[in-house]
Amino acid sequence: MLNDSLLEITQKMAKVGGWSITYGATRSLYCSPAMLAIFGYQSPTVLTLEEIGRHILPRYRSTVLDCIQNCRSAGATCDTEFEIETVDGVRKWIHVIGKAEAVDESPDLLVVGALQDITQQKQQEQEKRLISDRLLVTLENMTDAFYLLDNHWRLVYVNKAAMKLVGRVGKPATGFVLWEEFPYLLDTPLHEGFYHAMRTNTPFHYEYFSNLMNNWIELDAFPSPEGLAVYFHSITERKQMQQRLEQSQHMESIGKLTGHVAHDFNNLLTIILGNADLLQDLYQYHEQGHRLAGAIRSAALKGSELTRRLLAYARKQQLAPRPLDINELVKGMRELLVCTLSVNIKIIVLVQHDLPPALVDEHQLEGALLNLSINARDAMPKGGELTISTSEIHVQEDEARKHPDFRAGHYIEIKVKDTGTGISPENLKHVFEPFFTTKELGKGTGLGLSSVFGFAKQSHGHVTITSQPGAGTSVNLYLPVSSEAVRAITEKPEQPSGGNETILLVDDDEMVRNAAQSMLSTRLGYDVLAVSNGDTALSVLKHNSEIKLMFTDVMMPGLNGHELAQQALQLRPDLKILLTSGFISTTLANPSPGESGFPVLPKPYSQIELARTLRDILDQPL
Amino acid sequence: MQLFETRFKAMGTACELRFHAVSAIAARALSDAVIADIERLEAKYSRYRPDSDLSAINDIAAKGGSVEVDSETAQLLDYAETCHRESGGLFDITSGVLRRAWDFKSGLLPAPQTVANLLKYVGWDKLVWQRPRLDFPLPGLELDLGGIVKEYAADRAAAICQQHAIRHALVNLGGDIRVVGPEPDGSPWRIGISDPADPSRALCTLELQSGALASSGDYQRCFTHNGVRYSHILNPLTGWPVRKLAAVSVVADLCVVAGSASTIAMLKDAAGPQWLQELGLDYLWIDVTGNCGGSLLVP
Repeated sequence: MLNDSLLEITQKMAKVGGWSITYGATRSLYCSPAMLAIFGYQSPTVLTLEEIGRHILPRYRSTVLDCIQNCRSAGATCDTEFEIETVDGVRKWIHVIGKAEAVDESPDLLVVGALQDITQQKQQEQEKRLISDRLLVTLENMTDAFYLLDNHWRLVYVNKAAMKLVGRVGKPATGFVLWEEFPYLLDTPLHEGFYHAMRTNTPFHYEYFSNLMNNWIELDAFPSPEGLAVYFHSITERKQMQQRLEQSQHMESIGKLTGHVAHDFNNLLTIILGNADLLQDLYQYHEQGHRLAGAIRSAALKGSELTRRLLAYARKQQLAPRPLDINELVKGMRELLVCTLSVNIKIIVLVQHDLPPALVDEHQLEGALLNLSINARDAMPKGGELTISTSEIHVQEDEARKHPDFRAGHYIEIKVKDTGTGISPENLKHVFEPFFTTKELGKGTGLGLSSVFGFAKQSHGHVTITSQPGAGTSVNLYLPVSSEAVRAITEKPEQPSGGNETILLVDDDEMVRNAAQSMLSTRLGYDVLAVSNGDTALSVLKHNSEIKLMFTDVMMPGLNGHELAQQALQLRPDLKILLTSGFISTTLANPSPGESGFPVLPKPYSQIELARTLRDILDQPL
Repeated sequence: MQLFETRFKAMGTACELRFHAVSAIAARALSDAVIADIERLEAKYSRYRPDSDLSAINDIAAKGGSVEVDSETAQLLDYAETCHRESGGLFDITSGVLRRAWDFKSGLLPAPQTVANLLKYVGWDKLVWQRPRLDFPLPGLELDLGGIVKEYAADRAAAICQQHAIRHALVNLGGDIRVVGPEPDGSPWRIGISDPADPSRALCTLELQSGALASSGDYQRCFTHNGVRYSHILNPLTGWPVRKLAAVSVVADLCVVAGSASTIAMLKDAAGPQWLQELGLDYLWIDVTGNCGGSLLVP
């Protein structure tokens, strides 16, 4: 009895019931209490085969019947699954097994079996299947490429994104061993990383350039007892952006360095130029001395041109942008280029009519185009074609993003294209860097393209270059469209002369100060008070009402030129002010307002430039 | 649609291409294609380039012999033959040798005997043209396609415009003009024909919806000797310059037709205007005294 009880409890726990069918003169069914409980019967009940059959959902009835029939007639084992509806209307999954047995000393046949409520198991299976299906859909639709390796490095699964990235079409081939299919991966960091991940059960992260996919790839591999799940995607665009950013930062730092060097050079050149002017005056009746001083002056001016280009690259030159008809300028330059370039270079100008004006410094743009044309000439020693074309262009965000420091917007594009020797991809990366030149020693300063670059950036534009060795080079200059119409300008005639006003000269560099003082007093006749810093200058101003103008350097320790000018104006609102700075370079036609609104005379300045600028300011009414 | 303009120098003259295109890229493509074709023709038919096809032909012509030419050259020779026939022998691509006697820069007249000697080597009928073979039985001949090639280049440029789906264009190769369609708004291209005596003044303004305009003769390339004006246009029958007309402009469907018609009219001298009238093309003539006439002047 105890055994029966234990069996019943066990059966209940396992949701298992027993049954038997006796085939004799009649068919009788025996159901164990546990089986009856599964079918929802609370108390022992005698059921007929028909009655129990009604619990089986109609779609399974024939299967179950066939199964038992086979068992009975063919001696096969019955083993099947079906769904029932219990007395309470609950649906359950049932697993049934049974086999036929002869009854001792009787012609009857007995089919005995057991059945189990496998509803919970079925639900779990279904949930698993659902999750698995969802996972599969997710894996197929995700943008990351994914593949699954088993413990033997066999490819178990590959998703669509992975197939696409490796450039394969059709049904993914699985089952192969990764290292056999792709033997060139052996002994690579990827190979080592996968093994390490599997061995140590730690994830593996790797970025590399894949020749197979022709892309930069970021890969993550996650080990599990079943194998390795590998996710990867292309990061080529990110890498390119990163490289562009690094390039941009590189250019930025070179720019800063260049700016500082040029600033210091300009100070030195100011001294040389000033003293050369003085020497020339001193030796005006001494032919050899005069000539030598002239040679110094000429060399200093050449130096000043070099620093101007350096400053152009460093985006520190003083620009006078105004709305400009680019087509007029380009057509006008055609004549100049015909004279400048060799006869075997054909010059083609292609302009788009009715362009809006660009906001740009005319002289600097001419210089930039001349620079580009000379580069083109040098690239075509045997002749060729130089095409300068203009057009209006709206640069979209996605296009602008491809270039560092380029804003989407409305531009005038000037394309300077040659059919010359072209530039190798390696050199092309460096062409905008100062002092980078592929020309023979002494034939190029390496400042041409870099100053064009600096000029374009300072003009809030951009410049790009494309080139193919043997097929020529194309430089595209993008200049911002002006919202204003083109206006004519008239040049002021040059009338330099000195004066007798009192000028306060402020410069921390003694040599520059001395040179300027000599020019101002000896040559131009002004009364000069010279001091080396802002505090002293303010103190002098307080005690000397005769001072009409303060001429001060911008870059000084302590108070800088702008701060000094502002404080000086508080003391003396009628004071006229002229700043000078080595950070600014221009053609020196007119001093332009600096960031604080005061006129700035760029260093190095010649005596004549200083004279004219001072006179202009002193003669202006307050 | 945007208006674009390309300027360049080719065939020894200033060239201009004005056209309406949908984009700067389309404009550059057309410009490149037109310039490349003009350069191709220049390289092929230049008298000055020793490596040109024409120089190769002339090398054989100088020695006597025969040469086979390609179909494009054959087409031009066919046209030259037609012009020679229609002009009564005045339009002659063998007349270039006469330049050896005439130095227009020096302002000196050649000796009549020099001209007469050179005339022995002038005459289309002195060669045998049987497509594709050109025979030079007499050594010393020389061909000059200068009177056809520039106009032909303008016609080809128009064809290239059409291949590039450019429907509104004006090709101007040093005054030889070919138009492709009117301006986009349907208005004609306005072309000023300058007064040879004062190039800054327009003698008349022509409105062209299609077709071509070509001119022959000018005031710049002539000299005056003892009060007589000598034009650079030489009559191949006499070896001496034409005397009556200073310039002729003709409008035709093809530039090559307009060009040859204007040249023939110049060579016909006093009979030129009448010949043009009979030809049925619109024209304009200016004689050496500054008088002018022709259907183009009729409002």
